[in-house]
Amino acid sequence: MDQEFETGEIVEIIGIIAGVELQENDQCHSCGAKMICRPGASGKRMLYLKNTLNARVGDRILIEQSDKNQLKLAFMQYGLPMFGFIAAVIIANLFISETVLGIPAEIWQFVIGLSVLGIIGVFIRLWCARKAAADFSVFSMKKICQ
Amino acid sequence: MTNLFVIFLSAVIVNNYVLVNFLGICPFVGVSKKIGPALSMGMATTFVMTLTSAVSWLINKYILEGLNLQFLQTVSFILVIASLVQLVEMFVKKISKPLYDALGIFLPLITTNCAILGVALFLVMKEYNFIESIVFGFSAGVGFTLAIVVMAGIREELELADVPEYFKGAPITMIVAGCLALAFMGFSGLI
Repeated sequence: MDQEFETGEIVEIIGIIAGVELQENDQCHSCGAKMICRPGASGKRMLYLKNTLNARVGDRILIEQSDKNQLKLAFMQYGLPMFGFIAAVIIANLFISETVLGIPAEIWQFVIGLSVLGIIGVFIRLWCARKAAADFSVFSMKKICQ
Repeated sequence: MTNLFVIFLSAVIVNNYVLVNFLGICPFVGVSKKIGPALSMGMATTFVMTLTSAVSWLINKYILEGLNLQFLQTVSFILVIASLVQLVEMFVKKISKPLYDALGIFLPLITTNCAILGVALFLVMKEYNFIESIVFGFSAGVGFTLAIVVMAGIREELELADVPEYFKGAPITMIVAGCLALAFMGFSGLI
């Protein structure tokens, strides 16, 4: 289920972690989101990976992506909060269907949905911390390119 | 309840946003090379569509309609989507850096996805209530996910097929997208 992802250049090494600057590929130039596709504050597409190949600064590496782990993360990040939000709003709709304290029912339902979203966020944070301790990652170094 | 089911079926199959309304084509073509990323993108889009539909409905009902400013719908919804995606991005970054590194890249792509704006505008046009709007947003996202995953599955198979040299890449993708759209047109009239 793993697949080759893209190449990048190592720009910094912090202990066992390597900072990799991802290189733009051909599809980036025709993508509508290219102006804002700069995750992180550095303005560069950076990825921090465990330096399993003992690569050095300046090395170009091939990065591998685990689809299975990515799907798990996507479900935790988007799927679970979304189902929680929808369930909370629908359940709130069963109990609050009229204006309460001068505030319309829909706003109460939305606020309850958002609250559940926040609670799920805390749960995800704990889950991520546990997974991080168990060395769970989506991206890994595959090989050093010549 | 039947009404909600009809909205769901309609948005997922009969009026599929990508294959019938031709909205959100950019990520449909760009992120449909492999099933894994396609499914992740679909989930992210569904999440944002669901939240957008709720927020857009509230803004339209209590601000735009209340102040008689319906002519600002498009601009307001664009702002809602951009702010919402930015908020989600900040939230994810705060919750977990690994999550942000792995999936943060999908969020900028969602900001520029016109299917999200389409959902916000359609739910106002169809005069849905709050719950119906949320179900509609969720269903539109499921429809988007269905289309992008089917496309990714076909493209993965195409890598093993003997495609003529000149058809490789974008041309065969467009042909497959056209065939899929034709197939989905078969559902028209179901509801």
